[in-house]
Amino acid sequence: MSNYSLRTRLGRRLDQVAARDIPDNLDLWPRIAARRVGTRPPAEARNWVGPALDTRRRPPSSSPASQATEESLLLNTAAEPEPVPITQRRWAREGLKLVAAAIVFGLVGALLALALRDDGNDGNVAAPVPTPAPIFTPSVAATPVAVQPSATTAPATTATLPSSQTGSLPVIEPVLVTIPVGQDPQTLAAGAGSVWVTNSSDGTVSRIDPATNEVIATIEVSSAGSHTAEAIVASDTAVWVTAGPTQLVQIDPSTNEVVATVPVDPPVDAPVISDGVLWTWSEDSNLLRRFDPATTSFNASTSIVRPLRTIVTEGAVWVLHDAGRGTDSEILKVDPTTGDVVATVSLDGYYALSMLVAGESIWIPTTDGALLQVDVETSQVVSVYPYPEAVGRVPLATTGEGRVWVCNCTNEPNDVIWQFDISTEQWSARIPVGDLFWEGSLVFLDNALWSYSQEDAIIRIQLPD
Amino acid sequence: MVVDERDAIKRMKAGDIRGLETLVRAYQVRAVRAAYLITHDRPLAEDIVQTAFLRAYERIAQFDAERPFGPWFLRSVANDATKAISRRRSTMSLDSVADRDVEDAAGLDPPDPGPSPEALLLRAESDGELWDALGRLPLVQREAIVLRYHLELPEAEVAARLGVATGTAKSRLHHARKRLQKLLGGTRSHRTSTDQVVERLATADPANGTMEGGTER
Repeated sequence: MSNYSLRTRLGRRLDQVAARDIPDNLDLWPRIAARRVGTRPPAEARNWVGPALDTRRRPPSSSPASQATEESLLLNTAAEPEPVPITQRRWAREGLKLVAAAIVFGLVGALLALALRDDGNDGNVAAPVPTPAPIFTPSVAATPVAVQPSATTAPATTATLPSSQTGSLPVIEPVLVTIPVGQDPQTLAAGAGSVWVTNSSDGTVSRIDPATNEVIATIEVSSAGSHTAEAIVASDTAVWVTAGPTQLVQIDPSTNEVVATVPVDPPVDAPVISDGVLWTWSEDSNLLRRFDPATTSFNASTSIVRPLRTIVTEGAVWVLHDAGRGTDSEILKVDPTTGDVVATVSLDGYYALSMLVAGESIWIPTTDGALLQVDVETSQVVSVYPYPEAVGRVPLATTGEGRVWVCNCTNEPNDVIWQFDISTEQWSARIPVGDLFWEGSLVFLDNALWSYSQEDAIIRIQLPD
Repeated sequence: MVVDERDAIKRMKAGDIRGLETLVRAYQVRAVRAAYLITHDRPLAEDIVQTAFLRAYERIAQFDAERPFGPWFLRSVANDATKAISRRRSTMSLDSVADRDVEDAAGLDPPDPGPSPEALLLRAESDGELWDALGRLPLVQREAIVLRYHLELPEAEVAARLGVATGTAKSRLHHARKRLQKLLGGTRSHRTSTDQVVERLATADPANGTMEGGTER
């Protein structure tokens, strides 16, 4: 029997199908090389993975010299590119070499003659000839093998912590508690003194009491047979779950019973709750909507393209959305009374899938190596805090009691959660978590971080007092 | 390979185009296949991948050399393939079924989800059948399937690449699998667990079809 996972075998089957027309010996390099000769890179490259708000971290533009070197390398590659118009350039280069050689020979000859004529004066024959280096420079620069990285092509500084802080963070050895729940836990929420988790394949919600670390209720929320429970949001008086995902289900935390099931069309993604009002958004419909629990109906909506996450602050709803290029995000500030977008916060090329509220700021754990701070008053990014180490995947994050935690959860043995202290504006600790976490959600309650493992269990990470 | 890759990226950052050649030779086949699974158009897939490599070279100064190049690059190729197809959407008949997403999303699915769609995917009688079924998926579902199963990304990364929440990505994969189930002619008599699927695969007779049946390459 194969030891490969089902997912891997599915991937292989797809690869097998594609391989019928895309053979293993495919060779794109000649065409790529030819295209490279025919195009020039832009003077300043567009943001890609780790762009920066700090202009000191911006990459320098390519210099003409580096372009010339690059081109000569392409033209001397072992591959066979398609014909390119280089003949005249090559002749010019050869001509330059001949002229340079003639000048050198002339200079050497003249100096030799002078030395011989002065021979009787000091007894030295053929004194050392000054090297006419500048004359040779053009031909040397055009030689493909002599590649010297230009200072202007040095890589941009990536998002890493200053050396004074790297590796010096205090380590918090976590105390872990494992709490089994239903099948395929998906989203966690903290509210009404409990941790709530959706079990997506069971269509249920588990409620965990942090005082005992026990599941004190398992609540079925999906309609018969649909077996899905996805996003969840909790307050002291209500818990809302998306099931289906075409249903909004309300749970009363005082009884642990479903008290309302509302069909929603189009379906909604992760809702947020504030002052008893539910804000929902949907990537499928590109809508931000306000849901009134009292009437169990939507009473306002506004169009937002490709929303990713919504949060609420006093007097504003903030929507993180994909800026349309697939590599960076923006935050839109929406007036909750009119639905108008009143401000746009550019993340300048950073990409993020979540944001948090703490104090007077919005915190954005980006996928590109930094935690961003947005001031809610000015609607501007005011600080960029590079992660202590590179992130491998979409980081999980949560906040509480003046701290922000970002988990670089890659399911690798050296995964870590970094703790950021808002008051000191410093990364203040690292919490090694092993390979427990892969994806999902992270919440803070009772001085502990909560997430889930791949073993259908909630993991409580107790922090020191 | 990791050493070669890091060296290649260093060379590219130093302006040495030959670093790109190393990466092209390492990832071109997988990248074109991923793009091809999404576009169903080989010339277009090859063009997308060529462009993606050139773009990577032009922007290599901003790439964190500590991060693996392959996963990022393959994700960007899949994204480019989807965008390219989106631009041609009005002329491609295979996307006309995208509207059927609404049916699934509206809760019209039968109560019993039937046999595992993943099992059906593996049990497709021929490569051609699977290819046709894949081509009849709505574009967003096809991209999700390729990201999740061909490129083997976790759901959170599928979500990141699709620009949606993880829950949305899960839903999209769920609907994609169910549509494949219909396209591959699944019955609805019982639910098949993953373990049962793997067991059936392991005991299947390869002579009766093109299913892998546990053979490792």
